[in-house]
Parts: sequence; C-alpha cells; structure tokens
Amino acid sequence: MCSILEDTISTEDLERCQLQYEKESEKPSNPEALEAAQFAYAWGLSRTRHRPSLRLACQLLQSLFLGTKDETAKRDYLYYIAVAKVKLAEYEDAFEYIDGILKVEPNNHQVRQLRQEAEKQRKRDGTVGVAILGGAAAIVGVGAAVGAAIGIAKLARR
Amino acid sequence: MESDVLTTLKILIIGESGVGKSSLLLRFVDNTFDNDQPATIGVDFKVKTITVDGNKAKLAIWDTAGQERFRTLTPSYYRNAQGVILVYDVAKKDTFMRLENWLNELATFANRNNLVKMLVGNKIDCTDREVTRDEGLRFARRHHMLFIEASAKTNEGVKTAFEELVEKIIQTPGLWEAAGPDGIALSSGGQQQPQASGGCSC
Repeated sequence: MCSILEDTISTEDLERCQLQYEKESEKPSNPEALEAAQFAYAWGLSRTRHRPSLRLACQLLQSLFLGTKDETAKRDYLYYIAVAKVKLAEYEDAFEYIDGILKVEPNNHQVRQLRQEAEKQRKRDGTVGVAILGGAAAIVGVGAAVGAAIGIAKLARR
Repeated sequence: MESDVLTTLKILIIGESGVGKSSLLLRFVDNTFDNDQPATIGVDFKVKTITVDGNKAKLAIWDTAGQERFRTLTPSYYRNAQGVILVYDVAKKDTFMRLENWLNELATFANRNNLVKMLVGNKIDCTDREVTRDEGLRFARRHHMLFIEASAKTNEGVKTAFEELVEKIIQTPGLWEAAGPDGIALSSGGQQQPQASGGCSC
C-alpha cells in the first residue's frame, strides 16, 4: 500500500467485523461494545472499493459521529467518511470533511496526505474526460473514454 | 536509483496510545519532532531506504494507532511483517505493564514465527522515569527481543533502534529470502504500482 486509498481488507476480516456488528446490534453487551463493533465494521467497509459498501460505511460513521462527544473519535470518524467519499469520487463532501479536520489539526500529516491524494485522484478523474455531473450522458462519456483508452493500450501492445 | 535495493522489509510499530510510536517514526523518516503529535488514525505508512552492513533495504514501516478504538482491525496489518518495534514510555509504568498483551496479540496475528522484535523504551528525556533501564532490558531478554532506550524528542537511539532491527532481520535466514509477494523486490521501478486508471468502481 502506498496510499490509504489503495488499502484493502480481506474478505474474512470484513466478514468477521460484519458478524460482530450484527451480533452487537441485535443484543448489545454494552453501548461501548456496539460502538466499537460498528466502527470496526465501518472502517472495514471503507477499505473496500465496492460502492454500496462505501456508502454503508459513510452511514455507519455518520451515526457514530452524531452519537459521540469524544473529539478524537469524531475526528477519526470524519477521516474515514472522507476516505470513503474520495473513493466514491464525491469530492465536494470529501474536501469539506478533510478541511474541517485540518482546521482543528492543521499539522496532521495523515489528513494532509489524504488531501493531496484526493487532489491527485480528482485531477486524474478529470483527465478521463468528463466532469461527472450525473446523468447518463456523462456516464456514457466516461465509459467511452475508458473504452477508447483500453483500445489504444491493446493496440499499442500488438 | 533503487536497482540495488536488496529487499523490502515490512516493519510494524505497536504499543499503547501516547508512548511515541509516530514520533519515533517521524524522527527516523523525516527527522522531525512535534510536541503535539496528534493521535494516529488507524494506521500510518512510510517508506525509507537504509543501508545496513553494505546492504540496501527498503523499509515499509506501518505505524499503528494505539487507541482502543482501532484494536479490532489493526492486527489485520500484522501479516507478513518481518520486524516489529514494540514501544513503551519509560515515564509511564502502565505502558510497560501492558507489553505482555502486545506480545500475545503479535503471537496471535503475526504469521511469521521468527519475526524479529525490538523493544524500545521511549521518552528517556523525561525526568520522571518510572521504568528503569534494567527492567526494560530484563523484559526484553525474557522475551527474546532486542532492546534500546530512546528519545524521539532528542533523537537519541532512534536510528540505532531501526538499524539494529534491520540488521537482525537480514541475519535471520529464511525471514527475508522467503519474503513473498510484497517482500523481495529486486526492485526496478520503485514503490509506485501502475495505477489502474479510470472507472474501476463504476
């Protein structure tokens, strides 16, 4: 892994977290254990590239964020929401969260690095061709650009 | 530039919250020190190439958060580590008392049984010491670990801690030769993997 955005999780680890979270949600042993299990599961989901999982990670983390008064915990939850948002290419939200943390901890090198990587990814997305403003046309545009790029790569190999 | 790198080694830094794990890492990699180092979020990752006994090794150093919140998942980063730096604070006895737990966690989750361990007693610049050098040394001996006292703040012992660990790993047969996919990188292209560009998740 060179970047938090490339970090992955094994299926077994993610399943283990999911089971623990489901167990605690059904019958919490105590509020702390539920919070811990919910966070572990959300963190695990944020390490995937699966869009529905990333969305679920955001939801779980948002509810954790609203439910705690612990400032460091709030920061950690925000950070992983930002990671998931970057992976989802929802940059506006991502930068809002990242800059929010940097207001409180301007020298946090992990958060600054995430910001740089998000910038880099956004630029890369931009060079694919189309600003993703939603709508089928844009999606087709990206698909076509990627298709063209793959075609060119294949041709180059011959 | 990296064509003469002998191997890539995965090194972990673990220990209780606030003992100075990130400070040791940042002192070693960037030669910086921040008195108000924020608590690490999950895991942090840095790369540094060093030369030990004429051998160039690329270190991939994984700095783990000590906070309880991350305990469920940080062990998932232990796999394939060849070396570990276990840190306590010489001015906080309880961080020393918790070392056994960290060793148990390592035994459970690290998958190499000949993993090289370095015990580091950090913050020796503090005047209110609660753990003597001798106590640290005896604990390390009992658990077959290397040992050093250090201060990330004054830079004392930091470089030595990493270098001695790497030296021992390189001397341990079978530990780095069979390093697996992310191990031996008779590296030609540096650390950058080719990016899978475009619509990977759409």
